[in-house]
Amino acid sequence: VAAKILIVDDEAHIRRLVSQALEELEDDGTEILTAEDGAAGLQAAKEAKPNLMFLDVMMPKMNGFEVCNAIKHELGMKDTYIILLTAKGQDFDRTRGEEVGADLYMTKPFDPDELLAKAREVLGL
Amino acid sequence: MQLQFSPFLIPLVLCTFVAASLALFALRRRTAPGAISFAFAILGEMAWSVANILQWMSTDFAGELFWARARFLGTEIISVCYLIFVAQYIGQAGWLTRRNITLLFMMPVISLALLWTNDWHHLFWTSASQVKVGAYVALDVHFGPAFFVHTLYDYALISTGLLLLTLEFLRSPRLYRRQLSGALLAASLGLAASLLYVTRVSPVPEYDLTPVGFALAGSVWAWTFFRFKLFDIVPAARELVVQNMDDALLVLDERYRLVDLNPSAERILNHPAAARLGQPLRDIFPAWAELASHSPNLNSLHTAEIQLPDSGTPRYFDLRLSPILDPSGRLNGRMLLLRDITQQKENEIALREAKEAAEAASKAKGAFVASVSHELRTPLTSVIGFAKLNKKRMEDVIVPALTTDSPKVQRAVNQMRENFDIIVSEGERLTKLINNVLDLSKIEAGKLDWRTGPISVPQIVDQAFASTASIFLQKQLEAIKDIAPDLPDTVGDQDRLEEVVINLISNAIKFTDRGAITCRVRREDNFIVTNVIDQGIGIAKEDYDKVFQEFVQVGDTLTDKPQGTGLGLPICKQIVEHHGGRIWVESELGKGSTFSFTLPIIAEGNGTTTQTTAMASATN
Repeated sequence: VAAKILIVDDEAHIRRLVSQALEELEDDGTEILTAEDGAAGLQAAKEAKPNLMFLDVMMPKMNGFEVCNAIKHELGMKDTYIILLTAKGQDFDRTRGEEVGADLYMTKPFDPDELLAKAREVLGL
Repeated sequence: MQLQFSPFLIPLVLCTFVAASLALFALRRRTAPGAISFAFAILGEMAWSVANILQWMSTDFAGELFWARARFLGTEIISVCYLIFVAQYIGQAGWLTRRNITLLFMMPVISLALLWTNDWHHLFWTSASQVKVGAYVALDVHFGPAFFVHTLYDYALISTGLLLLTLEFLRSPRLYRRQLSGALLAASLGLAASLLYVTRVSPVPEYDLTPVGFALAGSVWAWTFFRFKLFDIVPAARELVVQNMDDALLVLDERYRLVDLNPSAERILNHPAAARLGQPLRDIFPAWAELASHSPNLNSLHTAEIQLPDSGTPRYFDLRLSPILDPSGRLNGRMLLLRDITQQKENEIALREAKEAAEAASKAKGAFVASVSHELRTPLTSVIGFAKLNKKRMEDVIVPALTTDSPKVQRAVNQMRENFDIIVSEGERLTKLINNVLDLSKIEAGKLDWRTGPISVPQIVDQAFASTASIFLQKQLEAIKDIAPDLPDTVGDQDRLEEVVINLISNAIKFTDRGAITCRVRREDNFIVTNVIDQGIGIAKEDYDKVFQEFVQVGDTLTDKPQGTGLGLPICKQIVEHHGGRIWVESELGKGSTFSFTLPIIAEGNGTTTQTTAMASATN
């Protein structure tokens, strides 16, 4: 079964950057999906049941924490590995991140190669 | 000449000693009102006693007569000085001008003149003869008209003093009554003894008991001095203090009716004293009712800050209510003291407002810095990320596909490769700047999360060398570790201290072109001292402090190609100082610099343990 990665960010440039950074995984059949706000991201996650999600924290409609909480706790999708992307740097609220069940957080600006390496590790590729 | 020693001498000798010690006592307190004149009166007493002793010791008529006359020198001094003393003591010495004092001494001088010329006119003593009193020779005199005039004058002076004291006694607060009653009793004793002699009703009429009376009087005074500290709190001083003090003083009876108040209190209450005396406090002082309701037990000292409307502008007062107790501890009334603290209060308010404004400004600055830094991170992610991706695509996809050998194309590819690197490294520098600005603003606001735990400085140095290994390699510099054995652990924030050492090492590398960079760690007393020593360009002495200031890079920025953010050392300073340490630099231009910092050695368990969190961070 092909792996699915969902990228949720309201910034088009960031969606584009993350997609391009992960592009070569498509050669192994991995499917890359994107959503442009929290609500759309939650809907897409519900339908596609991705293996890995990159989730921006500061987004309109539903923020990353809320989306993460809904997926992990309300939908019970414990197997979806969720990486929070935050522009908050050291201000990032780790306790909140833990509470909503996120697996990892990455601070912007992040390194595309690091993103790719992490994705390979999570997907076992 | 033959001398006789009779029992009559004993009281006189005692008098002399009492008087001498009293005079000394008063002279030591000569700054107190009345002390000097009191001392003179007592010295007069002493002279009188001494002359009396000598008179009683003499057996020949001429000697007795001489000393009997000498006695009067003392008598005259006593009565005048006594009156002056009383007037000064109760604070009514205004009339004691030089002229009036001279007038007071006129009569004594005339009396003395008449006494010493008595042999010619017998106006003072009508007769003088030697008589036997028991086994002893005594002088017996009969008083003439001049003597009685002289005596009446003395009595008048002493009675005036008594009258003044009595009046003062009647209008004095209870506190001073004992003092005054002592002084009154003393003066009466002297007067009584004198009357015994003058009227010749004494069992031994030849023996003048007046000095003994005054010695008794002096003793009572002495008792008054020591017991009630006559000269320490004189009524005159008390009056002045209360009348002139800035604080308002109100004296209340046990039912809170106004009994007395000073001029300051009149000003505050805006009414002359007379109009207000006897009225209940709550009528004249509206704030009172509320205060009283808040404080159930008004018998103990009570303090409060109150606000009085004073023609529109409120004024603030510090209020103290204290009970006035009599010696048996019974409540006699209360004393209310009001101190105007409006100025102090206004300063306090202004200070608080300024502090709040400064805090708000600092908070706004912090919030601004935080929000700017967040807003910059997203575009920076694109800038750095796409530059990296572009370079990767170029290397992986485009360069292999190039078929031309054109030098122009080759050069363009090389330029693009380097340009992408520049974009990335400058983007990373900007990221670092943002982080530093944020850190500094949070350290200054005291809001940085410190993760304190046990730390080992040698381990921190190891880590810092590992993190900087690649730049050491780039510049071909030698890294030397010189770490003392058996250094104790201390307590601190591992990551931030590592940041300090990395920063110092990176700086050293940046400004050194060849040679070695040494990191030395030693223990000095209760501190661990870390030195980072380079052989670089060095820093001028006048710039030592500047390097730790924000956004200051020392040296010619054009030729030295600044590569940092200008915030590295200021942050190091903040971190070190947060740990209770000190950071400084010593340097010699052209030879190198040594950056040093200290960390206090703190026993483990004194710091809070590191917080651990299950969620990992993938950032560097």
